[in-house]
Amino acid sequence: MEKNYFFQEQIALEPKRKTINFILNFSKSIKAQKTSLGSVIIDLN
Amino acid sequence: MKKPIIADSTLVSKYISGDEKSLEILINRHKQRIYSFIYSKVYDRDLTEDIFQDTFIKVIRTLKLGNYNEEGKFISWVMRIAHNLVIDHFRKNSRIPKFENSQDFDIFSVLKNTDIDIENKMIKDQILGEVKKIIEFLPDDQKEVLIYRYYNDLSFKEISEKTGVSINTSLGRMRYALINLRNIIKKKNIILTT
Repeated sequence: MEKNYFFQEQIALEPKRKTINFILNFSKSIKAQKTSLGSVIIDLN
Repeated sequence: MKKPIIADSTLVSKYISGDEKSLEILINRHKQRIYSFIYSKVYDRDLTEDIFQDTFIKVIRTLKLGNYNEEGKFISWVMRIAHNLVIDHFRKNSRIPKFENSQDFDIFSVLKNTDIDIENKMIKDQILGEVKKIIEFLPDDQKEVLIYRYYNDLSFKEISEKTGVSINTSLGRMRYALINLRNIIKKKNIILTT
């Protein structure tokens, strides 16, 4: 059978779990608050 | 019974209203597409992770600040952010996404792309397809080195270990592969530009 050199490209491309967790934690760690100058992001940590 | 799929727009609204779980669903739904898109531009896993993360940080900030303008699809908007961050990365590094190559022909110089519009993407995909077809005309030893180097991003040292030949032989095969590719392109009168 002919060798398929392109086969190695067919790997699942998705972010690591820790990257997703970081994003989700970041989302939980901030909050928008309205001020007289408009909305600002507040870090809850 | 299958759970009905919640539309992206609904999830976005729920997230803006404070439902953090909706963000997780959105990320899991689109993570592969966004990640693959970024990887297809930068060809580096770590960098892709960083840009993926920065993309969603931007998404989160925009949504929480109430600045999201829901005119198009959520995924298109996220992809645009990812694309802009990729461009920012290359601007910051003062280089375009191409492989450095001292050979007289760099096949990837024809693949640079700064536009995201569908037409250009289609043309780029077509070119990539053409390049792959042309590579098939190469002798196996040259094809092997070229694919390991450009598609699998291996160093010449790694290639020589994998193929059981010296680094010099690998370099020589690469040189002949590029010369042959250029000849095939010329002979078949193929135009590889966007």
